[in-house]
Amino acid sequence: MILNQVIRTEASSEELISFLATDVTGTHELEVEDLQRTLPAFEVARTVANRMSLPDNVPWVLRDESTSAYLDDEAAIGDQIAPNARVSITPRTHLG
Amino acid sequence: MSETACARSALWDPEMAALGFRPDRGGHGYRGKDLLFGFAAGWGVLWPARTSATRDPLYAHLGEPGLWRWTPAVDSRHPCRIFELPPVLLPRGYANHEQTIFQETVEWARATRPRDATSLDWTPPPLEQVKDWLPERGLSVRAGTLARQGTLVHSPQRLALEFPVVSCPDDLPPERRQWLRELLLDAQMRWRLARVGIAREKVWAEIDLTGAPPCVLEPLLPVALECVRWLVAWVLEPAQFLVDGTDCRALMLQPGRG
Repeated sequence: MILNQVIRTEASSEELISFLATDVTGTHELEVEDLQRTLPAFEVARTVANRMSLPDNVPWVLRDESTSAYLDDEAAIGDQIAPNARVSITPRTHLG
Repeated sequence: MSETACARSALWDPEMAALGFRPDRGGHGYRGKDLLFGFAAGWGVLWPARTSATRDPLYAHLGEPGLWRWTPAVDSRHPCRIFELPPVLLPRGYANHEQTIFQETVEWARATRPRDATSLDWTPPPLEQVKDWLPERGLSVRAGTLARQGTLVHSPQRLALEFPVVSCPDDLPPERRQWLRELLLDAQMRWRLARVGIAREKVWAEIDLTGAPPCVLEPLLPVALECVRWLVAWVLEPAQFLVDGTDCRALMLQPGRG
């Protein structure tokens, strides 16, 4: 289990991150500016999915479009993407 | 008191006597030197025997050590400062460790009552041990389209769970500020254990565990985390609506207290 920000500084727990999110079909595009940098990626994915009115019962995962890397669910979003990054939200699939 | 805490049980008399409490003649449960103890819906509650100067519940208690928190009274009398004990801290039988946990909790309440953390002779358990006691993904709360990440504050002087809720800028229109205040007071009354308040132009929800003995922390921490998560999940969307400037003429009506 990864706990983010276990030693609190006043700024870090309140700092926000901005990014652009799209769904995998390109139908939805959403500018996100109000989420904490310390939120884990799985929670960001669920929140973005909700804002796009995507189904609740799908495990969503985020992918950084600049690197094509899937984000680590448990790690903070601010530790994984640059400000104003483009991310896509996609259903988690298990291949192989 | 946020709800009437009363009722003593004769089964508890010996346990309470060992802690310096006797049955209260006024029907409030048990009376100690300067504290009253009673039961409310399965929880234990400690509160001062004498009412101290009234403090604003939303500004008075953030950052104070221990579980003491101010709650607005249902009957509109002065807010009261209380210390709640969830069932997991109350002995259900005669097991020594359960009685020890209860006794240590009451002593923790007594030690943190003066609100002065520097006088506590206490160090927190190791960070890794505290992390083990927290459930996975416990510091994230989502409510609809909103999400908040809490922080485990772990320092030699403080152990706490903190969640930022919404910004509360100084220039928030008065009617929205009043509605926000009513919402937060309702949250404070409705949800146990957690505090909600305003500091640094932001609404915060927290549970302070500073001074808690390890034997109390281990069973308490998962309960404490759930209590503050529930409060945050309940208050987040309406609070955000009030501060984000969404046009709503109904907010011009004055909030009434039923």
